[in-house]
Amino acid sequence: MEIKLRLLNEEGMHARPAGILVKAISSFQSKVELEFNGKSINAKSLLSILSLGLTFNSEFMARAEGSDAALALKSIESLIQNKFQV
Amino acid sequence: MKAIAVSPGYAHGKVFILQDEVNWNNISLQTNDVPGEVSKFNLAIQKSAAEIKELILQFKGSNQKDQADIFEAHALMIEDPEVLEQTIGLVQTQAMSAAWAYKKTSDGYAQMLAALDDEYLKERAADVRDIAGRVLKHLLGKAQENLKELPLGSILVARDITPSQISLLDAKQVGVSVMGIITEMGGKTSHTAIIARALEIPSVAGVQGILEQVENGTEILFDGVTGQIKIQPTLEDIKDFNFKKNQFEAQKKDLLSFRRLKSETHDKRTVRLAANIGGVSDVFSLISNDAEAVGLYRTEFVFLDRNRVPSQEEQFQIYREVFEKLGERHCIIRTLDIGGDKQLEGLSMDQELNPFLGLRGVRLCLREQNIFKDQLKAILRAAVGHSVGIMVPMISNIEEILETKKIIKECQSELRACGQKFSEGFKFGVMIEVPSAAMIVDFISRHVDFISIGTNDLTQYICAVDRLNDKVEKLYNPYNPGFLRTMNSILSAARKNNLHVGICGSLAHEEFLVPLFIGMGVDELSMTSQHILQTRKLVRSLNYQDCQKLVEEVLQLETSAEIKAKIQAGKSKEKA
Repeated sequence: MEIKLRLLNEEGMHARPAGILVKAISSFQSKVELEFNGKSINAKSLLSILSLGLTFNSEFMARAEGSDAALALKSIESLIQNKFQV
Repeated sequence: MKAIAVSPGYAHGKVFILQDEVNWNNISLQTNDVPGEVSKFNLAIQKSAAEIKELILQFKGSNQKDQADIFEAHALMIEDPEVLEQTIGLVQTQAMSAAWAYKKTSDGYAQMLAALDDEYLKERAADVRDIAGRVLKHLLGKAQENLKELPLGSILVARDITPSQISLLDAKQVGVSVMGIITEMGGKTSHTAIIARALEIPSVAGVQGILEQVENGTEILFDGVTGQIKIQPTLEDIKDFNFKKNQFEAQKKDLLSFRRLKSETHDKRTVRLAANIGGVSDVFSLISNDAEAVGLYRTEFVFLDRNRVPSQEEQFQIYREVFEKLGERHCIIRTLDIGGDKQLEGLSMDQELNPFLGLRGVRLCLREQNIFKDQLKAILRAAVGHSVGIMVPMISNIEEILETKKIIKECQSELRACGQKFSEGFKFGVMIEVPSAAMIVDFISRHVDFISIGTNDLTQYICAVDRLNDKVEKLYNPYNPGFLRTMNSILSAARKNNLHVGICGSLAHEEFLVPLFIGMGVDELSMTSQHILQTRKLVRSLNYQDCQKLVEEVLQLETSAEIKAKIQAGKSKEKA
């Protein structure tokens, strides 16, 4: 399953938000990928996320496969919506 | 040899070369023990991760949040599943040695990051390389060079020193086993330079080719104030060096004794000695030099460093961090002061014939109100719980003050509408740097809580001279009687109207002018932190009443030569 997202935090996908995202996603069994500009990467990898170069308002896809896929996507969505304020 | 002086001080000792580069010619590309390579690699990652976690704990324990944050990111990067998987994949499918496989993988990520458009993300490539160096040391059986056991009197020489390496040094080693640091790469603003200054290790950078000219044990000395380096110094060099070193240290020691003393004259007139800062990296020096407040926080670097307009949220984070680091100290933050000669992406500015008389400072902000409002909102939000003054540059009339105040009110009600917390107890002030404002300080005092005189621009506008134009540069002269009379009229008007008045230009620490400014009744002098202690020493040697008398006498003199001579005569009489 997949969802479309837009990055809302104005600093862009820097190390701090990316770190929060990686920590959150790593707790799920599912395989989770982000896709941006035709590039698809493992969302459990901090360096891969940084290398996408997502900036404020970038639109990207999140895709998950596995038993807890729906939950994983939900948690990504809520992190994005809360601008990574956890 | 000449270098960039990075951290002041004098170092004399024996070269100790920090080998951070691996000679890849000596490392075999293939392995015939694939499972052995994989487990060696896993072990190297575990050891490196443990080291990083240890560093984080140490930094958190000593409240060094910046350093802890750097290594928190390293901790996540070092255990990155993609990097591990790709490295192990190369070992398993191509029988590549773990060292080569890891190098290829991490180089790939470093290059990917370096190719991004975002300046911040580009810099993360250096972090990837730093981590790779750490892992490779374990992988190649070379433990992290033990910097804690350096020979006595070592001067570290390296191509570059990473934050990881310099963080291994202990403050107790400084001046005992670590005399100084010389690097081929780097400059004044690297992470490493910041830490070197914090540890007070004399340091020079940008010394191309030094590694070819020295070996371990070579005697060397350098001057971290001027950047002068001498390899195998002569007796004459050493004598000269020791003389300067003793002078430097005696001066430093003498000045340090002025920390925590009051900045007051013999007859108890107090002056607040404040610092000019450009960002959070200046706060350390402000604290170690015992500045009492911030008299000028220049926010333009927040914009110029990025070469674009930062968002309200970004600015909020940046300002808040500065206010937090300052603790109880009052901070005067100046709103965006660019225009004319400084361009900014996302802000189309026309070429102007006379940029210094053009769309600068508040004039630009009042035109680009979205940018102005974002900055004001960020400041108002960040100022919650802190003692903050908002100061507006380039004011030339009352209308600009009233309009700015109206905009601040709008910002507050917009913030209130979206439920954001913001400061209501801030102070509001303006810079006095345009002659038309200097003439109406009495009117201005009805609308503001404080003023600060920007002497650089004021001199330029009063004397009508572009100080970057070498044909007329000599006319740019703070001893010009017209300029000093203007200063006196600003300060007396402020005093009459009970208005707090500061001076934040580069004249604020001028040895011969400070007595005049004090005599005119200035409340605050704001300068680069490194001048604070010598200015405090100067203030404590003065007498307010004498300074007032000096002002009266000086204001009677017709030429700047007479004025200069008068002040200097007073100084030498005092010394005799």
